[in-house]
Amino acid sequence: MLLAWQQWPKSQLKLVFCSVGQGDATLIIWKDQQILVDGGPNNRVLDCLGRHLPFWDRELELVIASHAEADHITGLIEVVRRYEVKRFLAVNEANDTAEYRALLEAINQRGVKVKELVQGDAVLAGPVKLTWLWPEKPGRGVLGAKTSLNRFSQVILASFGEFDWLLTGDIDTKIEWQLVTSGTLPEVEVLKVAHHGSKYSSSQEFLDTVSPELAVIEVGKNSFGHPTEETLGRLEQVKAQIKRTDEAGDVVIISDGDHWRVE
Amino acid sequence: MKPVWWLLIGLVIFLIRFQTSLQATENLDRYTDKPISINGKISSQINLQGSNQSFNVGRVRVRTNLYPAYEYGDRLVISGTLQRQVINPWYSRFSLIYPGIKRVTAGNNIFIGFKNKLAVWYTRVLPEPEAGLLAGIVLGSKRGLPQDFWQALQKTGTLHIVVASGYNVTVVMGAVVFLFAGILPRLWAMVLAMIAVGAYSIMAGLEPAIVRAAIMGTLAYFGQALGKPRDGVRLLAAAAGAMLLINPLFLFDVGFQLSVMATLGILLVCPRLPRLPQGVGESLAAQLFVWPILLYNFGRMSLFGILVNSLIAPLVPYVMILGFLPWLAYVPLHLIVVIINRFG
Repeated sequence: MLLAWQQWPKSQLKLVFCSVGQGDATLIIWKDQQILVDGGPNNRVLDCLGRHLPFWDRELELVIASHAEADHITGLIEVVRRYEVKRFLAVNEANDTAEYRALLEAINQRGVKVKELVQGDAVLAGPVKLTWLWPEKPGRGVLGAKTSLNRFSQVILASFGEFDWLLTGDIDTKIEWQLVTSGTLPEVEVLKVAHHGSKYSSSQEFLDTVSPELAVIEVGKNSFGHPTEETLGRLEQVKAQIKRTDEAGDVVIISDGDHWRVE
Repeated sequence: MKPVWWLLIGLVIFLIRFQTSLQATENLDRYTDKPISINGKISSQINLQGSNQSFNVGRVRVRTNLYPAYEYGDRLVISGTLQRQVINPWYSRFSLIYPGIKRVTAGNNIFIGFKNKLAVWYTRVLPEPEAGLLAGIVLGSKRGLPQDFWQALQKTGTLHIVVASGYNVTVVMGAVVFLFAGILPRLWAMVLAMIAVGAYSIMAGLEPAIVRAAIMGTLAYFGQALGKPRDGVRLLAAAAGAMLLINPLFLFDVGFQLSVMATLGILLVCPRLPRLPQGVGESLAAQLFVWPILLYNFGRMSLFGILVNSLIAPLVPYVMILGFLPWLAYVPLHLIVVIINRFG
């Protein structure tokens, strides 16, 4: 009883950047609805779900794989096996890896519906609205395509009342520039920093345009030097507060649609 | 024959076996730091750690990526550079780190299959870390334990609750005897209980602790049937001795050492303790005896481990019994998780 009361879902928005090591996993919770964007490089996303979902809730309304690289999809394999996933969104741009094959197998086995959304599409989950800014057009579904999969990352603008945040996957400055020039980028309160703070992402023009108050870097121990000095410097330029999942653990943001705060 | 002679014969066989295993190590050592290719079956439980999985193929420890997922009994062809890590003058660990792996045939053990089905059910019903903890306590499976929680268990000296051991054997035997005692003749019920313990031991990956407990449990039941008084220390000596004769290298297995010492502690100290809540006395006695091993192997032995163990000891039996009703098991599981995370 006490446990049920303690874990009862709230009507505020809860946005969680899960601490999963070197990779992304972002959880959006409103009442009993959950959206999970990416699953990280291991199974730690399961602990994150365990920490933030009530123990009886075994259903995820929406799961999104920003792009098919191991540091974003590995954790999703067990998520699909364990939870009832209502809808799965992925870019039809495949990757010839063991993780990708295992994810497809799990999706087929569990009979999960997969869809691909592109620029201009939108999804509503209660009062939470997700709008797709990228990719431009559906993927070609070519195994082992030459172009980096990062450039096919789904870029999603999410909003809950007046509170906006931007999820960027692993896009690089080239895609950022296309977004900036397309004029679809608004200012947001919270930015998920692209590609774990790589110096080939988060250009000054892009950061100036979205002008985040809080920049969250989903990062862990790695050999790439993420997050890079260059990116941290550019974030300071736009006076964004910086939170890192490797230092802070789960970064949890609560919003009532007007105000927001980091928990 | 006098016991002394049995002991001497045992010792001689052990030394011969030990010598053979040293020879085997030397044979394997010829390939250290050289590229090799081995063809063999996975002979241990699969251990998942972060973005890795590891398992044994005979004497060689293999570490590789999380996917593709391998299973006990899979036949693999593995090629990589053999690495040797010297543990002590008589014992070395051989490993292949991120080798090339080809699966020839998939393992197909019905007990392991059943265990995996049960573990999957747990993960569908419960969140982490409760699901992993339940699989650990009931099945001795460490596969699904989240890494952070694993570390918390290690820090608090409570990792033993996810090792299938004497308590699991008691419950399995007790359950079978309870179910069939009225229906079947006593002897048949006992034979069934033994088969169940054997099956359970395979499910739990035939790790030293469960093998020791299974042998001791079986001997104790037969002893009882023959009307002989139980002498726990003798049973322990018989079980440990038999295991060392079969595989002398168990001597250097930390799991084996911990299991034998903990049991010895329970047998020697418990009868001299005052009455304590369920499990607390056993826990105290075991902690006292494994202390030197933990100190030697892990360089620390936290004092509050004794406190944490005393707090969770009364909860573990409920989890074990509720293994077939995971929804109800959530409450004691969650309590254990809260206690361990608080101290870890």
